[in-house]
Amino acid sequence: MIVEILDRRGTVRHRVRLVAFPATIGRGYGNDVILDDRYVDPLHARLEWDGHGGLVLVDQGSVNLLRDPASGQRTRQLPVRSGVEVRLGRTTLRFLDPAATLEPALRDGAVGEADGPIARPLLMAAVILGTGVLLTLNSWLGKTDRTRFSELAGEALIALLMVMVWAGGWALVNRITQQRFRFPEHLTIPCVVLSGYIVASAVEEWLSFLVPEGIAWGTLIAGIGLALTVWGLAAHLARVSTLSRTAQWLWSLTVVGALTGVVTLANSGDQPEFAGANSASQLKPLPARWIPTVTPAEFLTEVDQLKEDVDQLNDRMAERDAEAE
Amino acid sequence: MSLVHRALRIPGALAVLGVALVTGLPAQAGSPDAALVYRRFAARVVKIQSIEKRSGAKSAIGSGFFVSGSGHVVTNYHVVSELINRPERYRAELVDGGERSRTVEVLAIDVVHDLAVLQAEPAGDPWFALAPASPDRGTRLYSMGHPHDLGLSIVEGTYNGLLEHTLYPKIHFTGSINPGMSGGPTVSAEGVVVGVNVSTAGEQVSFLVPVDRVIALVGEATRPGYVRPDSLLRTVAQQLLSYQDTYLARLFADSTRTVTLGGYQVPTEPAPFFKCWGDASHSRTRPYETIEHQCSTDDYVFISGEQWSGVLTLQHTVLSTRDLNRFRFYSLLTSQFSGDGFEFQGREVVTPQRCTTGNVRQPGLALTTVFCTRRYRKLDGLYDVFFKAATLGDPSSGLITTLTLSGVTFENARRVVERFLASLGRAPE
Repeated sequence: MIVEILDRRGTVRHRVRLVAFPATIGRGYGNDVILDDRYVDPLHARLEWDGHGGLVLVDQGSVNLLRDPASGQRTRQLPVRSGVEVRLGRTTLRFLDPAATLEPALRDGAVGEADGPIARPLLMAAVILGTGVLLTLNSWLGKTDRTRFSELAGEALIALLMVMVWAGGWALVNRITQQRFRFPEHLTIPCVVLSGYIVASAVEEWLSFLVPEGIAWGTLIAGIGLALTVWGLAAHLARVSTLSRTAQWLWSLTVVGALTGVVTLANSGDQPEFAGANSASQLKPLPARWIPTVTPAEFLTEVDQLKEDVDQLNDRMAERDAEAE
Repeated sequence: MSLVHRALRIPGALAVLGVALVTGLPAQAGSPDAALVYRRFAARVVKIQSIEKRSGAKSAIGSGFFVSGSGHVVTNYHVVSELINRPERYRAELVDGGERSRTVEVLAIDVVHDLAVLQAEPAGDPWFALAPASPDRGTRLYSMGHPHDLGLSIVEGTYNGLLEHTLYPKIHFTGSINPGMSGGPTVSAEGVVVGVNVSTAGEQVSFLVPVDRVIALVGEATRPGYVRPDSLLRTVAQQLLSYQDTYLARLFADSTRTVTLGGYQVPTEPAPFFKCWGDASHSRTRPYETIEHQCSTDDYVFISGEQWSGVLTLQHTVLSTRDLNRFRFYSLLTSQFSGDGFEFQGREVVTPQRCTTGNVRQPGLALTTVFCTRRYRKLDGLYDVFFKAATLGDPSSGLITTLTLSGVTFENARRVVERFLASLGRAPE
C-alpha cells in the first residue's frame, strides 16, 4: 500500500510505501509513517489486516481521532481501499494500491510546441527583431511630417516594451506553475500576433482599395486578427498550464470570444449611425492603369441604390417613431 | 449662421464693414426724422410670440407689421417656424402697441425668402400699404421691431442696394438689426415699406427681404379663394423642391468656368451666387504643399432651429510633395480624404447617412470616390448629398475635391455630381 501525504491544496508532498502490516502512523520517530503535525499523536493509528483480506485503519486512542476529509466526521476505524483519504490532525493521507492502473502520461503540448519552431533561439530573435522593424516601418509609412529615425525607433521600442510587460506577466505565471520562466517564448508569441496584425491590416488596406465594393475585407481581416489572438493565448496557456491541447484552445477561444462579444455589444448601439460611413476609403500608390475602375455611369448606378437605402431607413424610423408614440 | 461668419472671412467683406461703421455714426446721434417716423408708424408694428402650449410660456419672439385692415400681418418664417414644424406643441400670438395680445394663425409662408403672412382678428389696427420700392443707395431708412424683447425700438440706417452674388435677393441695410427685430418693417421717412428685417452679420451689416417678395406673398394669401394648406410643412417641402429645381438646373453646365490647380483642371464658381476663395501654403516643417480653392453659396434656408438647408459648397485641395515617398504621400492623401462628411443634424430631422465608394475613370484621370446621402425626415423628396473624390496614380501629387448639396432631390444631386465629375480633368500641358 502507498500512503500519500498531501498538503492543504491536495498536492502530494510525500509518498511512503508500506509492505508489512500492521504499520503505524504518528508523530513519533518509531512509526512507519512519520507525520510532522502537532495535532497528530505520537502513535496515532495503525494500519492492519481486517481478517477478510482487507486493510483497516484503527485509531490508537488519539486526541483528534480519524476524520473523513470530505464530511469532517470523526471515527475510530476506517476500512482502507485504494483512493481512500483520511485526516489525522491537520494532515490528509491518501491510500493507493501500488498495482492500480494509472492514466497514461499527459502529452506535454507545451514542450512539444516549445521545443518546436517557436523555441528556437535564432527564430525567436528574428521574430522579435522583425516585429521591431515592422513597427518602425509601419509608423514611418503612416507619418506625413518630417520625422527623425530616433523618434520612430522610440515609438517602436515603447510598443515593444509594452509587449515585454505582457510577456513578463506570462513568464511569472509560468515560473509559479511550471518552475520555468520561458520569457523569450512568451515574448515571441505576442510578437507573432502583432506582426500578423500589421501585415493583415496592410493587406486589408490594399484589398479594400483594389476591390472596394462587395467584399467586407475589414470583417475578414478582423477574423484573421481574432484567430491570431486565439492562437497566441493558446500558445501562452500551453506553456503555463498542463491543460490538454483541446482545453487550451477552448479556453483561449472562450476568452477572446467573450471579449469580442462585450466590445461588439458596447458598440452595437451606434450601428445605424455609422454603418456605411466612408471611413474605409484607402488610397494606394498604384499606376492608374493598374487600378480597377468603373465608368462614372456605372458608379452612379450603384449610387441609385443609396436612395432606396435611405428611403427604407426613413420608413423604418417613421414606423419606430409611430410605435414609440 | 455659420455661413454669414464665413462670408466675413473674405477680405472684400472687411471693406464693407469699414463703410458700415462710418455711415452708422450719424444714426447714433439721432435725428428728428426717427422720432417722427416712430410717432407716425409705431402702432402698425407688433410683437409676435411663439407660445409653447403646455408651459404656456413664450419660446421665441419676433416682430411683425399689419399690411391690411383685415388683420393680415407680415413677419419672418423663422419667427413662426416652431408652429409650422410642430403645430401640436406651439401656437402664436401678437402683442400690439396697446399691449393687447391676440392669437394668430399662419396663413401663408415663403420659406426660401423667410416670410410668413399671419391672420389675426381685425381690431381696426393701422397698417402699411405695400408698394414696390426702389430707394436710392444711401437713402435713410428706419427699421422697427422688438430687439431682445425690450419694447418697440426704431433704428436708423441706410439703404445699400441688393446683395450681389446671392441666390435670392436681399437688401443690404447698414444699421443695427438685433435678434427680436426679425419680421419688423424697414421703412422710408414717408412710411414706405422697403423690406423686412431678416438677419445680420453684426457691426451694422444687416439684411432685409425686399418688399416685392412680401407683396407677392401677401397677394397670394389675400387672393380670393386662397385656402390655407392643411400642412404647412408640406408647403415648406414643395417650396424647397421648386427652389432647388431652379438653381440646380444649370449648375456645372458646359459653360462652367474652370481653374488650373497644380496639374489639375477643376470647376469653379458654378453659378453667380457662389463666392470662391483660395489659398496656398508651404511650410518648412511640412514635407508637402497644399493649394486650396473653395466656393460656397452665401445663403442658407432656415427650416427650423434644428435644420437649415440650401447650402452648396465646393472644395478643391491639391497636395504635392518632393520629400515624401509614394507610400507616405498616399498615407497623407488617405488622411485628407477620409474623415469629414455632413454637418451634424439631429435624428429627428434627417436619417443617418448611407455611403458608397468606388474607383472611377475619367478621361486622363482615375479617381476614388465616395457618395453619401441622407434624407430629410419631415420634408418629402429632399436629401443632403456629400460627394468626395481623390485622384489616383500620380506618385507625388493628388487632387481631393468635395461637393456638398443640401435640400435637393436625389435625381438633381445625381445629375449635378455627374456633371461635376465630368468637369474634372488634367490641366493642359
